[in-house]
Order: sequence, then C-alpha cells, then structure tokens
Amino acid sequence: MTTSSEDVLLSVGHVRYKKGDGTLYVMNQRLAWMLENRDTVAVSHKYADIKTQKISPAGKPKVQLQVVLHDGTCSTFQFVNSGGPEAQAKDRDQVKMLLQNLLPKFKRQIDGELEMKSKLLSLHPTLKHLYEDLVISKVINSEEYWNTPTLKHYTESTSMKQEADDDAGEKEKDGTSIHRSMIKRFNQHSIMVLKASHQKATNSTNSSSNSNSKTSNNNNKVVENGVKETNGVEKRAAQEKDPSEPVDKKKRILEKLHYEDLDSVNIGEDAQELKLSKVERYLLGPSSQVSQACTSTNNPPPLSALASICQAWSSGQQCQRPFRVSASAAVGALGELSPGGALMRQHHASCMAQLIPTDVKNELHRIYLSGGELLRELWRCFPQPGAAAESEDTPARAEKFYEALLRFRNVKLRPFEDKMLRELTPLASSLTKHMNQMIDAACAKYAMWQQRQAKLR
Amino acid sequence: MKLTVDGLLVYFPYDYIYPEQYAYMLELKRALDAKGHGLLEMPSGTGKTISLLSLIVAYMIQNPHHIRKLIYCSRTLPEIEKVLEELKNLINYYEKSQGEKPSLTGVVLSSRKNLCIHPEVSREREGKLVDGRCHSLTASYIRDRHERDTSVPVCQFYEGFNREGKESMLPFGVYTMDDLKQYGADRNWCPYFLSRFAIIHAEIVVYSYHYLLDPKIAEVVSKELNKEAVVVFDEAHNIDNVCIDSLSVKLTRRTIDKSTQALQSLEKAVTLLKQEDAERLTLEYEQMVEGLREAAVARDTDMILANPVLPDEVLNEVVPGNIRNAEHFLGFLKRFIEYLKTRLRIQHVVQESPAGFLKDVAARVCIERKPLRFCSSRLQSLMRTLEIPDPSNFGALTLVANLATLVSTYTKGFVIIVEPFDDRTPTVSNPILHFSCMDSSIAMRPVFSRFQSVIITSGTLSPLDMYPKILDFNPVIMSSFTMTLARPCILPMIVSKGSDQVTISSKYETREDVAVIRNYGQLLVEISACVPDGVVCFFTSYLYLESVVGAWYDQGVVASLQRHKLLFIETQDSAETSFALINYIKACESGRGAVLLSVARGKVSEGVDFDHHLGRAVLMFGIPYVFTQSRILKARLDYLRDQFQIRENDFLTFDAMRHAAQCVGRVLRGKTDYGIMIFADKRFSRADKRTKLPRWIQEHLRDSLCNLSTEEAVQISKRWLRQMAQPFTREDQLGVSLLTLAQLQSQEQQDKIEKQVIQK
Repeated sequence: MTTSSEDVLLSVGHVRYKKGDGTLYVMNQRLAWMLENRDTVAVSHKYADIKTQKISPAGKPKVQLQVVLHDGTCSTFQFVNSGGPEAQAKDRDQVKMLLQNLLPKFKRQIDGELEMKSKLLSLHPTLKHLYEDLVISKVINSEEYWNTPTLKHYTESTSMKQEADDDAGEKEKDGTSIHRSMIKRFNQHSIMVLKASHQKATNSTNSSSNSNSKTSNNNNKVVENGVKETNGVEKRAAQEKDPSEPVDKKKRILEKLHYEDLDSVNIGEDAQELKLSKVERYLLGPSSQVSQACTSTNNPPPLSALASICQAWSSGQQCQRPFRVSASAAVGALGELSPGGALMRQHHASCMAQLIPTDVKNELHRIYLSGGELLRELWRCFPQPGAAAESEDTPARAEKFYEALLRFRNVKLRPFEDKMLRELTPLASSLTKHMNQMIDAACAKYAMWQQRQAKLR
Repeated sequence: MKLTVDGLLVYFPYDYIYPEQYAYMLELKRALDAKGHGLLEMPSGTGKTISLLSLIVAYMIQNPHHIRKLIYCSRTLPEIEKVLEELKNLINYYEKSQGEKPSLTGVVLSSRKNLCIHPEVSREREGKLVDGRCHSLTASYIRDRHERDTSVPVCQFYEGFNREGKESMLPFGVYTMDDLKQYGADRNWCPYFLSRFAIIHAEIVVYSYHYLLDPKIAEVVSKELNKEAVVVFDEAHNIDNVCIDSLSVKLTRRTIDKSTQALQSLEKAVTLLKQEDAERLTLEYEQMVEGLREAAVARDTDMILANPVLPDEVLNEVVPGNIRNAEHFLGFLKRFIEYLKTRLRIQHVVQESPAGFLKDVAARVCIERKPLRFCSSRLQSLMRTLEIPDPSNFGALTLVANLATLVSTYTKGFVIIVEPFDDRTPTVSNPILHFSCMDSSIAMRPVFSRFQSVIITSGTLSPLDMYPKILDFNPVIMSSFTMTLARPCILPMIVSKGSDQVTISSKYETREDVAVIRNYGQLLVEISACVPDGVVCFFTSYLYLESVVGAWYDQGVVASLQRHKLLFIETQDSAETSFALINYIKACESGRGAVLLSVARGKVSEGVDFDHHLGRAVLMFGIPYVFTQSRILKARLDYLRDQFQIRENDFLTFDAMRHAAQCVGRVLRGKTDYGIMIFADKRFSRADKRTKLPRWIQEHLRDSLCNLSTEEAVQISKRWLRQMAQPFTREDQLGVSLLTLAQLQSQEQQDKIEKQVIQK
C-alpha cells in the first residue's frame, strides 16, 4: 500500500498494536503501522485526520502513544523495546516530537478550509440552502460549488438582519470574530443607506428643478445643505488616490488654515446660500427615510446585498469583464425584468403573493436562488461580444453547467411542479412559468452557441 | 497687523488677533530671550502655529546673531503642509507690507517617497522601495561604475543636482513639497537631495520629528544643523513615545531568518570580491586601522549632533581587531545571530538588563562588549565596500546590528524582554525579543543640549509638570493658555450614572456588566437624538468596543441608534476605517447625521478633526488607560519610579488623561465652532483625574456639570444647543475673544492678558 513517493521519516521497531508486535512508520503524509513479517499496512492514519496525540505519563509501566482522530476513534501504540523503559521512552519521544512538528502543518491546511466553509454555511442560511439544493442533490459537485464567485460576495454582504440573528446563537463560541464581522456589516449597511438616499436625492432634484440639479451634479464640489466638503480625512484619501491634483489639495489646506474671524473680510457677504438637495427631508426630518430603509430590509434578498455585488462586479474585483453598464442601471434593469417589474406586468405578482402559503413561497424562493445561481454560471460561460477569445475550458464548463441545469430541472423543479399540481391547482403552472422561461432561454442560447461553435471548427 | 510684543515688532498676517495668541507670543519671547527651553499648551483652533511662526520669524529678522535658524518639527504630513502654508502666508504679508521679500528661506524636508520626481522610481508606492531604488541609482560606487560603463543606469536628476545644484542656494522664499518638485523639475535637479542640501543653509526648516529624534536618521540628515537654532516640536503630547520608539528594537523569528539570509548573501559577496578585487577589502581594513579619525575631528568642531547610537567611544577608538577583517566580522555576526536564535527558543518570559544580556553573550558565544558596540558602523562600512546596490534587502540585518550596538552602549534605561508568545494567543508560539527603551530623555538629551531653545507645544499637554520629568529637562517657561470665549462654546460634562442610577464606569470589575453597557448605550441614543449632525464616541480599547457593540445589538440599542443617525465603526483595518470615515463625513454633510464609534489611541483619535458639524458631541466611554498587563509598560513604570520618582499611578493617570483630552479635543477646532464633551465614567469626577485635564477644558467643567445622570446631561445639552444655535457674529467676539490692534494696545487689555498667563 505504501507508494514509493512517500518518504519514511522514521521507523521504530518493537511497537505493539492490538497485541501484535510490529513497526511504526512516520511518513511525510501519514502514520502507519505494519505487523512484523507482513507486507500490508495494518494501520494508516493521514495526518490530516489526526486530531491530537497523547502519551502515557512518565512512570507508568506501559510506554504508550495514542493518536485521536477527528471522528473520535483512536489508536494506541505501545513501545516494547527490549532495552527497557528508558529505550522505550526514547523511541516514543522520537515519534512524539516528529508528530508534534508534522501535525500542525496539516491541521491548519485542512481545518482552516473546512472550518471556513462550514462557518460560512452556518452563517448564511441562503448559502446553506443553495448547498443543499445543488450539492447534496448532486446537481453539481462541491468543488464546483465552492468555486462559483458569488459565494465570496455572500460573506460580505448578505442582509444584516439574517446574520445578526445567527450571531446570537454562535456568540459563545467565538465572540470577537463575530462582532468583528457584525461591525463590518454595520458600516456596510450605513454606507448603503447613505448611497441610496443620495441617489434618491439626486433623482428628486433632477425632476423638480433644473437649476438645482446642475449644482448637485457638479460632483467634485458638492455643496449640500450649505456645507463645503472639507476635511483632513477626505484630503488624505484623495491624496492617496491621485497626487496629480495639487491645486485641489492646496485649496483644502488653505480652507483648513483659514480663521474666518481673524480676517477682516465680511463673512456675511459671501456666505453660502442654503441649498437643499432634498427639501422634504429638511422639513420633516430624517425619520421617513429610516422607515423606508427598514421595510426594505425585511424582504430577502436585500437590495443592498445585490447592489454591493453589482458594485463589486462593475469595479472588476472578481472578473476582468469589460465595463458595460453602471451598477445602478443594471440593478434597475434587473428590477424591471423581475416578476412585478414594469416589463413583467402580466404576472400580477402582488396578488399572487397573498395567495401562496408561506412554505410554498419559501420553497419557490429556494428554487429561484439555486436555479438562478446555475443560470448565472451558465450565462457566464457564453462569450461576450467584443471580448477576447474565451479560454480553452469554457465549452467544457458551459457543458457542465448546462447539464447541471437540466439535472436541476429534473431533480428540483419538476417535483416541485408536480407537488404544486396536487396542492395548488389554480396557480400551479404560473408559479414556475418564469423559471421555466429562464431555463428555456438559457437552453436555447446554449444550443445556438453550440451550433456556432460546431460551425467554427 | 503689526504689533509689538515686549519691544519686538511682530508682523501678524491677520487684521484681528486672539488675546491668547498675544499671551502665547509673550511667553515664547521670554524663552527665546533666555535662550532656554519652553513648554506651552494652547488649545487647537486658537492659531498656535501662526503665533509661533510670526514671533520666531520676527525675532530672527531682528536678532540675526541671536537666532540663526528655526527648526519646526511636526508629526504628520498634512500637519507639515499646513505649517508651510501658514509660513507662506506670513512671508507674503511681509512682502506686501515691506515691498520686498525678507531674506529668509523656508524649506521642507520629507522622505524620498514624497519628493521623488524620477518617472519610474516615484511610481513605487512604498517608502522603502523608493529609498532602495533611489539608492541603487545614486550610490557613489554605482555612479563610479557609470563613469566606466555608461550602460549602468543612474538618476538624471541626482546627476543634475550634483553637477550644478550645490553651487547655488535656493532663492529666498518658502518652498513646499510641490514647490520643491517644480523647482527641481525645472532645473533637472533632484528635489530630495536639493532639500537635504538646502536645510543646512535655510533659515527655516520644517520636517518630521524623526529627522531629529531618531538617531539613525538624525545622523544622516540633521548632524550639520546650526547650533543657534530654535527647535519647535508641535503636537508634542506624545513626544515621549516617539523618543522611546526610535530607540527600541523588536526582533521576531522572521527577522532572524531574514538576517541569516542577508548574512549569507554578504558572505557570498565577500568571497566573490576576494577573488576579483581583494585590494578593496584590504583598503577597508587599513581604513579601520586608521580609525574613524575624521568623525572625531567633526565631533570636536561641534559639527555633529551628538548621536546616541554613535557613542563617543566609537568615534575615539578604532574598530577592534577581531572584526576589522570582513570575514571575521561576518563570522562574528553569525555567532551573534545564532545566539539570538537560541534566546528566542524559550517557553517562558525572560526579562533582563542589557548588562545581564551582555554577560550571557560573553559566556555563551564569547562575544565581548566592545566589538559588539561597533557592529552598526562596521556593517555600514562593509556594505559600502561591497557596493550593495539595494540596501533595503538588508533591513533585518541592519536591525540586528543596531540592536548589538544599542545593547552594548546603554546599560541604563533599557530592558530586554523575551516573550514566547503573544498574550492574546498563548497557544501559538511566536517568540519576540523586545529591546525596549524606558527613558524618553535619552533620545531628547542631544537635542536639548545642542540647540539653544527647544519649544514643546500642543493643544493638550496637561499636566505640564510631567513632561520636564520624563524628558529630563529644565524649561525656563511652562505655561498653559485657555481659550478666551465670547460664548461658552464647549460643554464638558461628567456623566457618572445612568437613568437607573447605576454607576457607569469602565473599570475592570464592571465594564462587562450588562447595566453599565446598557447605560452607555442609552446615553448615546439619547445624545444622538438631541444633538444635530455628527457624534463621535471613543472606547478604551478595540476589544471593549467590539464586545459593547455586540451587547448593544442584543439589547436593541443599535436599532434605536439607527433610528436617529447612521452608524459607523472604526475597525482594525485602516483602509476600512478610512472608508467608514469618508462615509461618516458624507453622512454629516448631507444632513443625515451619523455616529462614529472609535477607539482612544486609535487612528481616529489622533489627527482627524471633527470640526463644526462633523462633531457636535464627543463621548468618552471610560478612562483610556493603557493596557497595563504589558511587560514593557511594567518595566517602564518601574524605571520611572526608581529614576524619576514618578509614581506608577501618577504616570498611568497622566497617560490616560492626555489621551482622553486628545479624544475630546477633536470636537473643537476654533472659536466659531462648538461642541459637547461627555466623560462617561464616574472616576472622571475624582480630583486626581479632573485636575489633569487641560486648563481650557477644566475651566468650563464646573462642579454642577460633574456627577450627572444621563437625563440631566441630556437636559443640559438641549438647553446649551439652543443657546449655540443663536446667530454669532464678529461683534459678539470683538473686545472679548477677538481684538483689533487698538484694543490690544489698551492698558486694560494688556493687564488682562498678563494676568491670563498663568505660569506653573
């Protein structure tokens, strides 16, 4: 069983395991034990499987070493060197020291990854559902699952509420790291709210008066509510970004230095005119804003998450796709194309929502999530117009996801449809119509692409 | 306006002046007259910098033989740029009123990273890389090689400067970094070396603390500066820590590994050189025998700033025989590194004095103290001989050599602590050797003894009497100025209990108490409900911030906070924090309002101003004591007690209160500004804490504002905010907190100012 590529770092004779004497081998990947005069390895533990090692206390008649595996089982080796207890202890300590050095290396590698993954799953119920739907039902394998780039985004930006609830449960385990991620999300949330309100503000001014919109669009020097944007932090950040703007920088420094009361220029004359970017906010206070923000977070998946994903895409964090449309435009288009959007009117999503029981809704939601993932991955495989030639494995990848999509339709969607036929007859077909449309569209696209590929060859 | 300060005609580039500015100048002049050192505290936003510059420049112009130079040290780049702009403003004013520029040159010195104009080198992002690449284009032997073989690249700007730049001096005027770059680009001169050269002759030099305090840098940059100079340390409330950091060395296992690698490459270089050009090594050897006579001559003529790293003995004696030979020296270093390696292989904490360390080195690897002391300069010499193109790869080895020199030079004021692991992660082996300076006066002493006047100033230096003790100097003046105000624009309050009457305090026993955390939360919620725009909170540590935020989430505090304002939190990731800060500012500017949670001693607490609407209230949750379990701190406390008779508790309180003052001081950046300062801990109301706050805060902290409950504080805040919201014009200020020349000259006002200067 031992392959030639494995190095034996240490071999110790006179080791007893389950009443048989043999030789213990410490190799670079695993720990093995062979019965005397046999060729087969009776015990073989990969270091990655070993949780800890234990040794018998000094002074005990038996000199032993025990390895405990992650699954809870353990193997005990007794050192029976005829040289007496000292020689036995020496043998044992050799093994122990070697293991002590070897184990941590493997541990970190495997544990780190697994732990990260399992934590991710437990923290994000959506991901977990996705995992169940796609991996456990064997639509795709786990490696493919973990390789889809969307996952990375989920770690940052899923809705605050959902996760914070999970946090409560996990807090005892590792409080600080949870708090840390929570803090990140608070910041993220505030930034999103701010962005959203800014966007609305610009929109409203645009529609209300032209003269106003000019001032607020004149981006660099936004004058809002009569306050100029000047601050040390801003300045430093700007400095880092482009040192090619000494004029701007200097202006900020000068503003900083300016003691308005020490100069004789009358401040009253050149005071800033009060320009409100959103008048109703000024009159009513910020409360209306908050209630809007709150209601929107109840609706999973939150827009903020989506927006941040889009933002990450468009800023090229994940893939080097050419910049096509702005994130906000994309989000807008997505909204219009979703059930209930302007372009999808015939579905009457609002009244449907009231008719469907919650469990069905949840299930549908999950189907959309998983199906959407697969669709997205498939569409990603198609070359973009004007993009550089696709890499070698793109067709293979596309095929994989195409098949995964078909599997998904068979394993998940069809049973759901059947169930709906039985339970919710009037709505049954319309529920999954949109999903089916999307799958059909993707399949058609795939077929066409295949044809074109064939022609090219 | 042109005013007379104690007989000295001072040009002040504004039409009005604050009374405290005048008082500040008066005191400053006394220090300059007495040729002594001074300690001055004046709140930020009262125009400290311009007062300093106006007075010293006037003094220099009128007493050119008395003071020849002004060396202005500040901490951060933005601060330095601010100083330069103020200086420019002042010089312009001179020009406007006199018709010609005064014969003064003011110049800034910064790192290569900030001054480089080489098209490729300047594109590097990291300072170290820029230094390294610059060195590889400008080192003397590289340039020699270029003479022989023109394909060896050199820097055109350095060459240009070297050819022409040293002949002429900068024309009179003030040169900011951009000016220098422009000036250099116009002439094909390197701005960095131009500025290095110019500071020797310029009357006014503005640069960072490190150029003067860090002996390793001071040796290169500042050794030839004039003795008849005024040195100003602005924003100097942490100067003792800067001193200590510049003389402390920290070694990890990584450092050792890297220096072993560096040593190996040096060995290779030596063998190679031996085969090719053995003569050069011999030459070096002979120079060693000759001794460092030149340096000794320079020291005699008082040209060189006394350098703690290069002690007198090194200058007076020749390099010991056993390290003169390059190979012997490398072997010597190797032994020393091996020794350090064994020292890092430990299971428990070791603390010892440099003397004990030296004894152990001698016993175990037979290394004597004397050759050890020459390590740093010997390594420099060897690297020069070997013509190492990019010394930045040898940083770790230089560090080890510095340690060797430092440990054998100082027997007092230092401690060696070897820790097998970080206290927070006791399971992960991560040995660190700290060679820690405990005496901030060591780095300061050469500065005090060399320069005629050293002025230490900041917005928060209270309690003033601590600084002369820990920096070991004798100031001729020591004053704290308050802010004259026409309206009470700060509202300091000590909140000691929540609305449920439970005491609030961050002391160790109660800090995790649910009631305390809830009361903190409630205080913040109520304050953010009644205070407009920005609210900033400081916690005592990052860990505490995290756990409080966690608890607040569970208690629903976060949700009710978000009903009033957006919430931003400082994190340990500096990029993320900058981003949060930018958005915090945006939220304040847009009128949405925001709360920023941050940490005392963190990035936000130093250097970020929350002026006007960016900070209408600052809350200090607890007393920001330093982490007292640190062994380095304990050693320092023991040292301070034994050497300077400073009690442990006094120092800790002093340190905590100066940080608290720094934090709350962020809220007010001028007389037209206003802000609330809340000290949320019962212990603040005790006399030993309260009296250690800066005078300008203490003055407003009346007894009726101490020991408040949350509700009382909120009521007082509301009333005060209403008062502040009333229109405030120049007329309200004039005669009280703002003076015209005529008002300043009136006898009544002069008496008032004289009285205001309270000397400690």
